Amino acid sequence: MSIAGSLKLKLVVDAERVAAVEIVSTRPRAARLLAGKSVSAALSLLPLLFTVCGGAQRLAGAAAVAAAQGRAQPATEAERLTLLCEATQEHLWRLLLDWPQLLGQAQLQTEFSAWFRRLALAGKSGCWPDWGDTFADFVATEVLGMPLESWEQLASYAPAGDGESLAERLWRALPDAPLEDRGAWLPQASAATFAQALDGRWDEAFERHPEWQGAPAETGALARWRLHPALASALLHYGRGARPRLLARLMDLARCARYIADGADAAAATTIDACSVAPGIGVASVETARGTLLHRVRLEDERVAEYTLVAPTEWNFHPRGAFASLLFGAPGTDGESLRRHASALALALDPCVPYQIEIEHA
Amino acid sequence: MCLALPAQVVEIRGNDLGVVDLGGVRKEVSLALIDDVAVGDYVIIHVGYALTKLDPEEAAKTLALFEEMGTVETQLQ
Repeated sequence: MSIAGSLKLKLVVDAERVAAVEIVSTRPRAARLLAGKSVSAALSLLPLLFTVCGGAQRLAGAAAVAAAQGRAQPATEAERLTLLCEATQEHLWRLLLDWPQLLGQAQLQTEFSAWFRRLALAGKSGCWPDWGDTFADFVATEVLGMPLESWEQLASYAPAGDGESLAERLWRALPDAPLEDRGAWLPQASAATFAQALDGRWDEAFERHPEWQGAPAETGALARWRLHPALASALLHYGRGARPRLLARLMDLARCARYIADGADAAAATTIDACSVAPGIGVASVETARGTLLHRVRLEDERVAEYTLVAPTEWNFHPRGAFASLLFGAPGTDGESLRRHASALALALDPCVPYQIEIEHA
Repeated sequence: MCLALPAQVVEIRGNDLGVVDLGGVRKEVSLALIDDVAVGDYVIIHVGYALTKLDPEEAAKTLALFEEMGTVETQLQ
């Protein structure tokens, strides 16, 4: 299994505070396997390399290659559906299984398996599913505890003490101590903006530790939703702590459910974008559950000369990125409390490989 | 970007559980997320769940690729 890589997240506590956060990643740079391959071989290998984000990787690759060949096209309805289903599967996995497990709450195993399977089929079929309304009802009733429209229009989230929806149970169980609201956000930008801003930067160092305008930047659910009134309010109360992150993830799920229920037109906002910066060079950006996924390809004679792939995990688990900088300086005298905070933050930032958290007293 | 390592199903147990072989290591996983899985099938495993079925050709292609990557990693060390 070691070939798939993992993350070691080490917090060094010195006297009373976290004095250092060390992140060791053994994630292999899979994209370089694509160099030297023909375009068709590279595109057929891409989805085979990745487990949970195979659809997004395939679409990003196809879009980047098409742009490099000068035939960039808007994403099709089937492509948007693939991306939407994959993102929804990820949100359900975190919300129905992982968060409850971390917080000692009951998991929704049966519901998870059933919806996961349906979403997998729909994502592959390319046909908009006919169970969208049932799914939206499930999300509203069991997960959010309120209708989707009310959820999406929340001005702030402050559940009463005894609600039994999953959202309310998780909210209550999460650490409510605030983390500072610090660090840059990766913008929701077009592929052209990324291509222009990152021109000349697509090397191995960037692939491992990407930076935006000279600094690490956070991507993912909170970055997407931070300007929504309910999130702006939560950020004021809890900074970039666990609660706003749960809320942002739930906003994502609510929107996915509405898109699935309302059909293809509603989902037109799903982001798959690509552009060509020069003949033979294409850049694609795809918004996934974990954040922005960037692909850049340079072709020579219909073969891949260079392939660079920057995944959300590399932004959020940059050595000075969101995870590291938000925990730096955190109170460290209560080891259990620190571990709970770090675990909640890691799960919220959601690395796409297994990870371990270590706390060391210097 | 978790990598998709194919594993072969070697035993089906009750309660949606099964045993897979991943490069010689056997592991019990949940089969609750996929349909019609049989002994001999290749599946992709993610944190204890079989996620998708692969046809044998795809599995062979992926395993060859990971082998290539393992070789590349070793050469670089």
